[in-house]
Parts: sequence; C-alpha cells; structure tokens
Amino acid sequence: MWRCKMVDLLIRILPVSAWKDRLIQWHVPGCAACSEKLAAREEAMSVLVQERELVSVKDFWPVVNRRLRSGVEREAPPSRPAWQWVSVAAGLAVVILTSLWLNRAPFEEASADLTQKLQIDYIRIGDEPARAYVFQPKGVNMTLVWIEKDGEGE
Amino acid sequence: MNDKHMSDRDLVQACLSGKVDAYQKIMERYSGKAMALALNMLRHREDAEDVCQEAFVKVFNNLDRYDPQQDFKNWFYTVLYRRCLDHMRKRKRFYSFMVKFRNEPDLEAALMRQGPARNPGLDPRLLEVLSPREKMTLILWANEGYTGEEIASVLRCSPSTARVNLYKARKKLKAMLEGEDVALQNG
Repeated sequence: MWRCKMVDLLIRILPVSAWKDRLIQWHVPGCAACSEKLAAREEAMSVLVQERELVSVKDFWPVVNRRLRSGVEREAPPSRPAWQWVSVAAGLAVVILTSLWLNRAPFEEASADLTQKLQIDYIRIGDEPARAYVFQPKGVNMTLVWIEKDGEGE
Repeated sequence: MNDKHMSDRDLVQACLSGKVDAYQKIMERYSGKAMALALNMLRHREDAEDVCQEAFVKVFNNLDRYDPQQDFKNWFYTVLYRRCLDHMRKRKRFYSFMVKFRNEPDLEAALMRQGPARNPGLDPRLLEVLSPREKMTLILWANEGYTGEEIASVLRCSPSTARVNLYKARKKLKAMLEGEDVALQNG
C-alpha cells in the first residue's frame, strides 16, 4: 500500500510526462488496488454521448456547401492596396518617430528644469505628518515621490 | 469507383481536384462522430452544431495542407478539438463579461448550468472535473478505442503525455463515479 501511495505522490510531483508514464506502466498494470481506482472503458462510455445515441444529426452539408461555394471562407492573399496602406502607415510612423527623436534633447532639458523646481514642503496623511522621499534617477526623464506615514516600518 | 468505397484519401484528392461534392461524402462519414465528440466536449447541442460546421469548413479550406501519410480522421479530430477549445474560451469570456456587465455574481453559475440542462442523460458533474485535454483523451479512448499513440497524434503531444492524461482522466472519473469529491484535487 505504501508503494501505491509513493507512486501516486511521484505522479503528482514529477515534472516530466515520460517519467510519470514510465512509473504508471511499471506499477499500475500489476497492482489490483491502483487498477481498481481507474474507470473502465464501459464506465467512461456510460457517461459519454455515443454516436448511436444521437437521435438526429443536423445535415451540415447545405450550409457548408453554400459557404464553400461562395468562396468567402477562403483566406485570400493580401491585395496590393492593403500593402500600399501598410507601407504608407509604416512611412508615417518612421517620420513621426524620427521627429520625436530629433526633438528629444530640448524636451529633456525642459523637463529637467521642471524637476529642479520640484519642492515638497510639508505632507500630512490622516492629519499626521508624513515622510516624503524624492528620487530622481540619472539619465531618466522621471521623478519618483515616495510618501509614507511617519513612524511606519520602524 | 463507388463513392461509398472510396477511402478518405481518395475523397480528399477528389476535393482537391475541384469536386466539391466529394466533400459531402466525407461529411456523411464524420458528421455523427463529430457531433458526439463536440457534444461531449461542450455539453450543448447548438454549440456543438456550430463547432462541427466551423470545423468542416476549416478542414475543407485547409485540405491542401493535409498530409496523406496521416490518418484523415485524426487530422479532422485535431481541427475539431481546437474549434471546441476556441469555443470554450469564447464562452468563458462571454460569461465573465455578462457577470461583470450585469453585476450579478451568481449569473455565471446560472449560465453554466444552462448547458448541461439541455442534454438530459449526461451528468455534467462527472466530466466537469476533467480538463479539456483530459476530456478529449477520455472521449477518444472510450468512444473511439484510441491508443496512447493515436490520442497523441490528435492532441499533437507525446504518447507518454497522452497516456498520463488518460490515467488522470480515468482516475478522476472513477473517483466521481464512486462519489468522491475530486474537484479539490484539481488544483
């Protein structure tokens, strides 16, 4: 019994299917207790719908035939106008990105001026004084302000 | 040659040479099996019909990609299985959306209950514990008599993975049949 439990545990924790499969093949067929815990084919069939149980199956042909003959379903290769649109959009994107990149330096300078002016005099959370930390990473156009209640984390 | 005695490969060749009507023979062969499989996966008749229809169209449109070395039925089942998965994902998204939209937490459960209710004779709880992959494995094994290798060719996984999935599915089903609650073991 301990062997069955060990096999069951290993099947749960082993990371590779091939190992699990080997373990199952090695232990389960020869173990009556483990084999009894597996549903037989007849039991599985009893909970599944069988083809013969279907009273009537919808005739798919009329609808499918209509769709096939209409040819709408076939995936047509992209037409030339579509490619033209794509190339125009790509060209515009290149122009926009280039202009943004060219204007990058003045923008950084302007934002640097703004961050230099950033000043926090007094902060309160829930009517109590709070601590404020201002982080300005170098080379990044960003300022982080961290605020926490005074005395927290101590 | 009589169409009834033509192999799947011959019928596929006929379709590829422009005889669309040959596809009707293929559909006649597989409509019942496809419907049973989709019904077992989705547990909703209208959904199963939609999925079967989509799968037949998809298969026809990709007949040129069919490898004649492969069993046509397995290839068809692969397409059908993937359509079922797509449908299940859409259904799940739809239910989630409806729950959020109407702000009724119990709606999802109510909607999920609608499906099984339309198929008397099928106890939904018994298959609910299985993942879609385990469910498909069990269906192919029980209804089609597939081996691990054949299941693997449908699910596009290794035979050992297919056999492990089958082991898990059979174990969960047995536990459910014996009244044990294995839902908690799924996690």
